[in-house]
Amino acid sequence: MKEMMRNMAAAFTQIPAGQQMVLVVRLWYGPWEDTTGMPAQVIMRADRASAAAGKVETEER
Amino acid sequence: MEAHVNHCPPCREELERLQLTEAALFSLRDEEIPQRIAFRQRPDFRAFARAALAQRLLGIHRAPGVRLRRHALRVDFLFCCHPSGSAPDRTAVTPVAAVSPSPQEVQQQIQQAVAQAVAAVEARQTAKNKELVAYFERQSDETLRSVRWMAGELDANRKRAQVTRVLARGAARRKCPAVRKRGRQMKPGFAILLLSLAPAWCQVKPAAVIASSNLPASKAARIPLDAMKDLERTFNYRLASLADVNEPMELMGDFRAVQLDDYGVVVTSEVSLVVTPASCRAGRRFRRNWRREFTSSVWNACRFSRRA
Repeated sequence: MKEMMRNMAAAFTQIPAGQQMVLVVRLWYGPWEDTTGMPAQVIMRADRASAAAGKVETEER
Repeated sequence: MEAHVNHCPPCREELERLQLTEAALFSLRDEEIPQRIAFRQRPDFRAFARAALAQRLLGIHRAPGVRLRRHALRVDFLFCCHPSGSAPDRTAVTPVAAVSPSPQEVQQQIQQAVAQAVAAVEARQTAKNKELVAYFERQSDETLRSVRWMAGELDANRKRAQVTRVLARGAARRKCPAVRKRGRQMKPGFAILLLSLAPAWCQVKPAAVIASSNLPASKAARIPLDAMKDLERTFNYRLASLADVNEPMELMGDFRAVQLDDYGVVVTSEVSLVVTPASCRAGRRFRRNWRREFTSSVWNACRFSRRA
């Protein structure tokens, strides 16, 4: 996902360096799955300059 | 003094040296004493002038007009020359002429001093230029922000005025004919009042408020749709290719990139870590459709059989 963030920062050069790049991956679970301790969503967020440098803030929900 | 010098060889020698020094000093250009030095030394000169007649005769009392080098030389001579005629103590007082530098050394010192002065002036000028550039950049940035804020406020005021006008028009229509008539009469006055109030919202914000507000520095250009699609496709392929037999992964929802104004880009996706027919939405949709079609076909078959 960090590589994806870096790709986003490299691809979207139109965005100013201070604006955010957010990558959200939601995880789908079946009703029969034990989801204890599993994240339902992974969010990676950084401004474009940090994303290009690989400094990304990760959050799990 | 001359009689003493004629009989005293050490004093004569010293006097000759001093005369040589004096001649060398006279060859230099005379300069006025800087005010701060003159001010600091003036009381001493007067004290000297009041002290002895010989000193006064030598012209020491004319402190404001006395050249510094000559004056120092004379004072030096007076104090070095012992009254008993013995040789002066050279360890205590060093004659000025003994350390006179050569012209090359003087030239070198002058060049060094000039180079140092030029470097100092250049450094000072560079620092000043930097400060000026930073100041003007700050000023232009603040002006730009305030102009943007004013433009936004103007736009908002225009909308507010439009809404107010529409509401006022609706309210006037709802009123009775007499009031409507009066309202019609008041309409121009109300419009004038609104127009006069419009600049009240356009007041310039204080600089501190503008500086603290979180206005975006620059508006981002819209990302072309093709670039978005390309990125989505690349991400889809990458995530799909991550899965293998040991670590299965299924892309439930394709990547979707959205550009939000003044925020940035948000890319979302949905993934299942287990590959099963049940987890496949397309499969579920297919089964749902198939069930519906099956039910309807069974129902139709039942209807037809009843009719028959």
